[in-house]
Amino acid sequence: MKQTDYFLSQLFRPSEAVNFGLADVVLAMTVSAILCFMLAGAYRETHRGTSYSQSFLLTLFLMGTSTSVVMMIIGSNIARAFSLVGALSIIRFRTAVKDPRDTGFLFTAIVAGMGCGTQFYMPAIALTVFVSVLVTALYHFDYGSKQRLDMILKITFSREGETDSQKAIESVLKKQFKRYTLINRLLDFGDGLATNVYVTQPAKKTKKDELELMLKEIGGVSSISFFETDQNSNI
Amino acid sequence: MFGSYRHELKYVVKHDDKAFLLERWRRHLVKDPYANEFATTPVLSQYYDSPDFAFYRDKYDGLVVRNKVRLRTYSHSFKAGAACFLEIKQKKYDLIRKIRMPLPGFSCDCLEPGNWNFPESKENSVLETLKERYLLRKSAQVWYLREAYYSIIEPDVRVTFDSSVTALYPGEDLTRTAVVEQRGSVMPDSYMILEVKATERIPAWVSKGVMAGELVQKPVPKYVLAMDKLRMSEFITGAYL
Repeated sequence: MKQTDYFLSQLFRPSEAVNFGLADVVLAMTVSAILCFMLAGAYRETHRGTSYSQSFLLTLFLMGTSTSVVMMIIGSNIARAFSLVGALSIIRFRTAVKDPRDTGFLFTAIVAGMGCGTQFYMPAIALTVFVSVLVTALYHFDYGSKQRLDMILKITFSREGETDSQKAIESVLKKQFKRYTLINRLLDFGDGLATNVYVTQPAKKTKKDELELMLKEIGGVSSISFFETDQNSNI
Repeated sequence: MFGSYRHELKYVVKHDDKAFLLERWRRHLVKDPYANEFATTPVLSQYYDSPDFAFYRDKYDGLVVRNKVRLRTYSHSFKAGAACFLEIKQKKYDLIRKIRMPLPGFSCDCLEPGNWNFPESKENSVLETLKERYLLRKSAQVWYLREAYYSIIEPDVRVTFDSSVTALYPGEDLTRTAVVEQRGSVMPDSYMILEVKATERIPAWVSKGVMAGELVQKPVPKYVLAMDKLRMSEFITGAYL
């Protein structure tokens, strides 16, 4: 019994420079975890592309809560601060952060954790709420995106007199599009036809109906198909 | 013929990226001599799988050792007398090996695994084992246009761009309309799959080009994409679930 009491007293005894108790630690970690929860929600809500990782989300929580405790341990002791730097230098962080945005989220989680650890709860909460709202708003307004809708144009024409047809097609495309590139040709289906596949960037004046009419007037053209692709889309 | 294990890197690229890479790599690559006037070759593969699509599921289960069996021709359809090859593609961790058996005097009967009767050899015993163990049957078909390049200096390095990747049901014929209307298309036409294959090592000029183009390596298994597009895995019957 005596031994148990001794261990417990050792475990919870305040060290010479410690001016916080178990309740403070629990409070810092809890607030930090709640803030990380909010950040993680904003991250998940605004994530684009295929590189989403649940483990990254869990890392946010680890970073936030552990930083809060680290800050409590360091307090205002310079020796402990340097020890921490030394201790961290032996860990090799080899995982590449794929998106600069992920780095931003990690940094915010660390700052929130620092705020909680040093009992600056108000700035930590304000930062997290502000960043989460800001990121969500920027995402919904699609801020900064340089959206470019490309049009895939497929023109099927007879291989008889193919050179003339192609010249006529390209002269129409030159007038109607800012830019066009022939990316593929479908041949050899045994039907005497060829299909040219173009990626085009439509000009403001481009109208599909007019374009279709102009292309259909070219001798030998048998069908025209349009598809729109967002160049920012992720496969 | 047993091929040696090789590295295979895959990326999904846009046509702009292709132009950028080909410009950057122009001193290292030459076009495939078998390609048509537009430097492309049509590739049609009939894949084989077990009744419960074990090869397809192995990919999703993340198995590090995987097999795929396919019949391949370089055309829009399987025609009697055309050059066809039965291939087993084996993946072991990050390395890939192809076992390739030419089918001289190909007839359309060869599309059915029940008609595969080959003389005894090491390659054929692997095929026979897979056929019996997995009760192989026709699964999805994949057709695409391949633009192939070879390295001038490193004979083992090959760079390909696969576009218009189209999924077809077993036995379905490829038509111009299907390709033009993107019915079985597994990705938009402005995207293509870049594959870099090397037996020895990936050359530095490839790595530098990939870094300059900010490309991210991605698993893009055509068979799995085709199965997903056709939603064929939903055909697994209760007995196999």
